Amino acid sequence: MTTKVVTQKQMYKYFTIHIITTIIMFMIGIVLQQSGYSAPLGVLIGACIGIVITFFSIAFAKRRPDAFFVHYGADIVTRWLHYPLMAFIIMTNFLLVAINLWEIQDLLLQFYLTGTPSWIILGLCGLCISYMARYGIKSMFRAAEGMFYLSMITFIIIPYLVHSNMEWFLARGFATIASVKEAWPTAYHLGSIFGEASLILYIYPYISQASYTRKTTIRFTMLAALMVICHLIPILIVLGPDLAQNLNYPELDIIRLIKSGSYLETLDPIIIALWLVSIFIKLSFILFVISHMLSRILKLKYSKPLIYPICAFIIVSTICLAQSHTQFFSMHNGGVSTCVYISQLIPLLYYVIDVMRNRRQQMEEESL
Amino acid sequence: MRKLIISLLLLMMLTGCWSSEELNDQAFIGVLIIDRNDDGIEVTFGVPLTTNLASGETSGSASGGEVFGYFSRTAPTLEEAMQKVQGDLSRRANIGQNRNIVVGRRFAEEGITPVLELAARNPNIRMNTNMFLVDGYAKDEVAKATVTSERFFISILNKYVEHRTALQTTIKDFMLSKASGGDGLLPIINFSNTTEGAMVGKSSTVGTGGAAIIKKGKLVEPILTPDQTSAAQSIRNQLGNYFFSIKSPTENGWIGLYSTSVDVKTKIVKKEKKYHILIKPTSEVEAISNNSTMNFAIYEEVKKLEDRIDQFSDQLHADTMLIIQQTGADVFHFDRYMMVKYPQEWRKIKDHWREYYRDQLAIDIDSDIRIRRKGSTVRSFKSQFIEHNEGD
Amino acid sequence: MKQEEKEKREKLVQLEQQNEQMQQQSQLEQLTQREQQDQQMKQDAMEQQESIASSPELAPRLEWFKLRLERVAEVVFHEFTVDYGHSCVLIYMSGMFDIKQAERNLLEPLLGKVFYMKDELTQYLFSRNQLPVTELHWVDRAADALQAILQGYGILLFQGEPRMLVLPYANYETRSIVEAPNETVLRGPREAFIEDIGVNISLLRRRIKSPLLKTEEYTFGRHTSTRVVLAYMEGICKDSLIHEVRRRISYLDIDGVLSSSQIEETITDRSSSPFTQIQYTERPDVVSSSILEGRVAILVDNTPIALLAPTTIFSKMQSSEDYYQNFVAATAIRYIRYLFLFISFLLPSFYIAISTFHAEMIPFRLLVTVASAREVVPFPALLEAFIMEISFEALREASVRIPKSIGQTVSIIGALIIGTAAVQAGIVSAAMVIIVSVTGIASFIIPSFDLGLSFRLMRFPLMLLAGTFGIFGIACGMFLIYTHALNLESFGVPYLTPMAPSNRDSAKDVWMRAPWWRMNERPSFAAPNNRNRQKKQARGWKLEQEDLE
Repeated sequence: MTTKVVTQKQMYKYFTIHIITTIIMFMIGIVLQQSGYSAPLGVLIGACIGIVITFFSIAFAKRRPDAFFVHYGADIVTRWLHYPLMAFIIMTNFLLVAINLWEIQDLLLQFYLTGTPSWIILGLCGLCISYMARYGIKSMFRAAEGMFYLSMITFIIIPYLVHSNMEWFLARGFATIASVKEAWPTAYHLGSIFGEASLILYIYPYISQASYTRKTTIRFTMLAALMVICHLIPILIVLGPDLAQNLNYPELDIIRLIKSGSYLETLDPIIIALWLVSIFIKLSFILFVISHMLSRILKLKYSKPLIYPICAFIIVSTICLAQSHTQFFSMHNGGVSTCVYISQLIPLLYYVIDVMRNRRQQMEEESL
Repeated sequence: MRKLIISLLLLMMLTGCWSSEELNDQAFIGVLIIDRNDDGIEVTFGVPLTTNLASGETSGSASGGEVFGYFSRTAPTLEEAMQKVQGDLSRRANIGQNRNIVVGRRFAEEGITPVLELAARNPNIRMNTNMFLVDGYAKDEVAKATVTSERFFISILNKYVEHRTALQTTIKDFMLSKASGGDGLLPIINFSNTTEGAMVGKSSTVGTGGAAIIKKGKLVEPILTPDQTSAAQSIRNQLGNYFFSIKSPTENGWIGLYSTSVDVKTKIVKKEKKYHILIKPTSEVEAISNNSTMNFAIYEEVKKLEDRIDQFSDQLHADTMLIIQQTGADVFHFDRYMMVKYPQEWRKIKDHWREYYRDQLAIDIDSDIRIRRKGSTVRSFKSQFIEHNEGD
Repeated sequence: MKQEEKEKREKLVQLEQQNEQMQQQSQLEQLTQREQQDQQMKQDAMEQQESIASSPELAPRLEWFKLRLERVAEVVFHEFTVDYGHSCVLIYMSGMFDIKQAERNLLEPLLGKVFYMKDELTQYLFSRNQLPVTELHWVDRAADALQAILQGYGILLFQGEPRMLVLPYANYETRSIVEAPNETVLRGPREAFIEDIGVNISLLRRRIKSPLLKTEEYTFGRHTSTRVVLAYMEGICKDSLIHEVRRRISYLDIDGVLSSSQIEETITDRSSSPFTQIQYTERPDVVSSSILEGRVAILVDNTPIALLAPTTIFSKMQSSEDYYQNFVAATAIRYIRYLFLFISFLLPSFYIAISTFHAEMIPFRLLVTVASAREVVPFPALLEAFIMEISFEALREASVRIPKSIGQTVSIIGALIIGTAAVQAGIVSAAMVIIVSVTGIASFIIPSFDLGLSFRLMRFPLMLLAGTFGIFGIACGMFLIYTHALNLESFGVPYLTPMAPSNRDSAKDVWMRAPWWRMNERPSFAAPNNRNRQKKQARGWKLEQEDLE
């Protein structure tokens, strides 16, 4: 069952898409509100935080490259501690998927599909996500491979198309105004998103050429950070920091400012459609990881049958998550990032305990 | 697989098509006209009447009936007026196609902030909607105008902006910076009557006029003349084709010149503790008519002409800037230049930026205009054919 | 008393009914029983006679053959005697056997000679093989001999000899080799397969003159005994692939194999998918180039269509024309094909989504024109699209069956008159007619008919999704189709290679038609140790020329 099906190239392409899609559409508004001109700096710092977290996970995974963390974790710390921690990680991932789905549905309802009830949109999203997750680990990475170039071109072309609106003198502000203090809130939020790459730990046995994982991590994190900055800088330059801070979805607004030829003017539905496919790939991966972990904990042989029920559960919880935007924001700002950080750093705890245990064993063996 | 098909089919059964709307059930607003009268704010929707165009032909207002309809209502606030207008329309008004907002003078005097807020917050209204001002009562002027050169009135407005005939101000331009927020220039649409304008003899036609200065969302006097508006356009780096005449250095006639584009660079420098905004227009112009005896082959004369053109440009720009600066409205948002280059000083000044702008900011203009081409003929008509004969 | 009588009567009636039923039942049972008994007797008789038929005696064998082939009008039993006193019988089917050749090469020599002893005859025929007939072989089981007769060979029986000679003069009328009706090219060979498998294999052999081209023959179909041939290049084709194909084919146990589609549906990976995972073609040059790339070809007797496995979606998008034209032009045409692939299933949905959900995407002037054209149409956009699409599908289906003499007229009627009249009557709008016709044309640009068909059918659910959810619906539909295609595998090769599991070398042949001198390696599904097609310097002469200069 555990054949090495995921290549490094696929991982690189997949995780780039994984990180970029959420940040570009949802987080840029918040990032600009918190940091203004220091946002690119914050992105870089957040990327570094993400790399550090992922490196810890990879180093821990390397100790047992062919077993699943969900299984051997029970040996490192006792079962009584392991299962609650796993449950916490699973719930955090649930929350991530639910938050992303809620934001997707909010975006679509607000701009494009006013009047449609939210449950039907979520139902369709959930159907797509679970359909892909059921096909197994291969499908997500293959899908990312196929979509990669198209997604990158779509993301890169937006700054290019708005270049006529850019006022370049504003770029000076990145050198004069940016400061680490202002950048820190952004770095904190984005660090948790860049750190989602630590999900590599849970699928480590599926990865081939595992020794290159670190290099791949650096490459995709840097590429993702570069793409995000390539979007942040044009947004700031086109809209100016004061206006950009005031908008909820600055990305959509600059897409609407595209002026090149009057027949390309309202490209945003098409860009949203392409972006939606990428974020479905991301959400189906997280869903797959959740069902994988849950099936291993429950000692089931296959994770496939669990996917539809888990997806249904997530959708229902998304509907009940927040009744309005205000509620959502108060929930989001109330520490979701911290929660995600904790779930990403839990393997670090295991790592430390594992190292200590090994040392103790070695000492015992030497004394014998 | 089977379950997938079944679940898809079930979903299809639930198709209530909640948010799909037929094209013909919507009225696409082409232009939004807002003005204030004694009873409140009057909102007018300009809507193309597709039923009258429905014969499938693409000719203009052929088969009887107007092609563009104006529906208006008055209410104390903007949104209530919009609701009332919707009550008149038999179709749902779709504001997503709207690219132009025209405001009347009285509304501008009392503040255009409600419109700016509506456009920024409403996800359906785009940030790059152009704004225009009508020096009078907007709805009457627009509704009465006959549209001759284009199919619709809004096509005229769009083309003015596209071909840079009129100054382009969008909603976004009012919001570029906090310290100078709500400051801007609104281009004026003229409706000239039968003696001047496009088609003499018909009722009022559409043309561009000067520009109005808006400070903190309210109109302030004076109104810029068309020449000054062109200077403002050039400072905003929007000036396209421009015809002008300069008195010849030989002092016996005028030389007509034509520039296709003016490239303007703006920057801020600090000179002796004072901040100067440097505006540098550069352009390459063509001579299109020579009504004097100047000879373009002589380098000194051409140089003198170029100096005169530079002077003319400097003077025009400086006059315009002076007028604007004295109102205290930072319509070009020079504060952004200061913010990025001198952030510490900016932090001290930003609370009273407009006063600083009006009293202490120096604006220097340094034009550099070169004559690139002198046209098809060597010597002017006057010097070749007329002055030549007068010697006899 | 009356009640008792009534009851008795009722009981009697019931008993009678039951009796009748039992009689009927027993009759049925008896009939079936009798039939079964008859069959059993026949089978016993046949088995007995089989053993009879394997005896060296001539008469019982002849009886057996006559019993088996009773009421078969074409069979001929030609009894003759070879000097001295050896009775022989020649059995053949008159339409399928070349009797002239047999007369000349068999009967003449046999009847001209004198064999004093039976052993001489046996030696002459069997051990010394002195008959002027090549490809002669013998069978000793009567069932095999019967099969040979049914295949068009002739059987020669001898008194006192259990072995039976099989004469290979099968000769029946076949179609001549004509131009491929469904896959025409401008520049390139025009031959197409015909029904006779021998001729088809010879078409392949003419192109690949290598001993490594292996053709394995199988027979399927209990009653049809159809010959099926697997053709592949040993060494180039992966062994695992050949094993897999053989394994899957071995499960076919059906009473009649009449066309290659039965085999296709049995061995395909996922028969419920709208995408077919096996390619078919009727051109021998396509088959030869596929075989040289490492694929397996399956040829079926009595079908001019050959199957190719494995396949990817991109190989279905390629036409053989691409490889015969200049590579620059071929690349451009390939991109037009990809564009029209998307148009064929996205354009109507896109139009519906934009006109009902995202009207702000349309430029204003176009919007006014379209809206005013649609003023008179009473239907919503989704319904209008469905009406037009279904009429177009009906037109297309009907045009397959229209006799050629009126085909042209009817298509003109369909296109011009119905389309124009519908627009003028206000039932559909002109924009919809344009969209539907462009979509229809686009679906025929795809070289592989079944792929075009599957994309055409996927249009309808996409239109429904677009009508309900707009572009978001199209995105979800595309996502589902993409996921489905991504996880399809055709004999172990992922369906979307080289896009999904990306592969640089195969990409050369997909994203552009690389010139022949650049295509140095075979695609990824060929055997891994035999990848090189050609040496790296196919245009080495140019370098030499440049060196000289």
